Amino acid sequence: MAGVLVPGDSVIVRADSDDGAGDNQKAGRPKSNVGQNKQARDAVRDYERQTGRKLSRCQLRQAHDEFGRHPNPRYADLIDILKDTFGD
Amino acid sequence: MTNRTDEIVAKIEGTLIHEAVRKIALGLGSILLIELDSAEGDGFPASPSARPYIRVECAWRIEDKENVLAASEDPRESMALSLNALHSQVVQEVGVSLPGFDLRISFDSGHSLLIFPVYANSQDYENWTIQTTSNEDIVSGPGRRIQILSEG
Repeated sequence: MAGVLVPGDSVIVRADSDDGAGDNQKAGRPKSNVGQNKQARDAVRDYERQTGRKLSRCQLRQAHDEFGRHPNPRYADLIDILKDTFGD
Repeated sequence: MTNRTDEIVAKIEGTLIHEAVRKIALGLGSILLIELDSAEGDGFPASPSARPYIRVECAWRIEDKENVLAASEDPRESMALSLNALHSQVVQEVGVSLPGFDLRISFDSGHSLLIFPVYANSQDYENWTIQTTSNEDIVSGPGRRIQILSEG
């Protein structure tokens, strides 16, 4: 389906964490966008470490799509999304 | 430029120019996910995984000829709204600024997507990834590295 994919049903709530830098912050949601970007990469790496499986380029693409569809995920939610999508 | 840099710049240009934005979305934070496809629309559409694709995990900005429309630390609603400007637009030109591999992707509508790597010494984070239709990923990162990865 062509079109702009926007998580339109999401309610945007600013950070529930005070960590503006977002470095390795895994408990909540970093305040800055770049901090959240890092969290996505950290979650994928953690998932790969936990499962011993490396995501393929297509799976990585899918993972980022899935992250964007969830409103305000915390770090643990990201890991759950990966487990739900690719298995644990 | 070295031969390798020439090769990478040529691959970036060859992958993106004349392709149209078919999907554009935000991932987590300000991660930008862009799927492109042939602007001509000839033949059968490629499967999504075979289409050129850009993932931007660093800083970015969208401009038209006169205004800055959005930037990557804006509120999410504002960023998401501004992405509409690029939908269906055809890539006309790609500027690659060395040595940092900043990208300026210009569209036929006059809009531009500017991409600024923000990691130089990190061993953990990529700046941007361009997936080609020949099963290769051109990756800026981790840190200042630029590499072409292929999956067997």
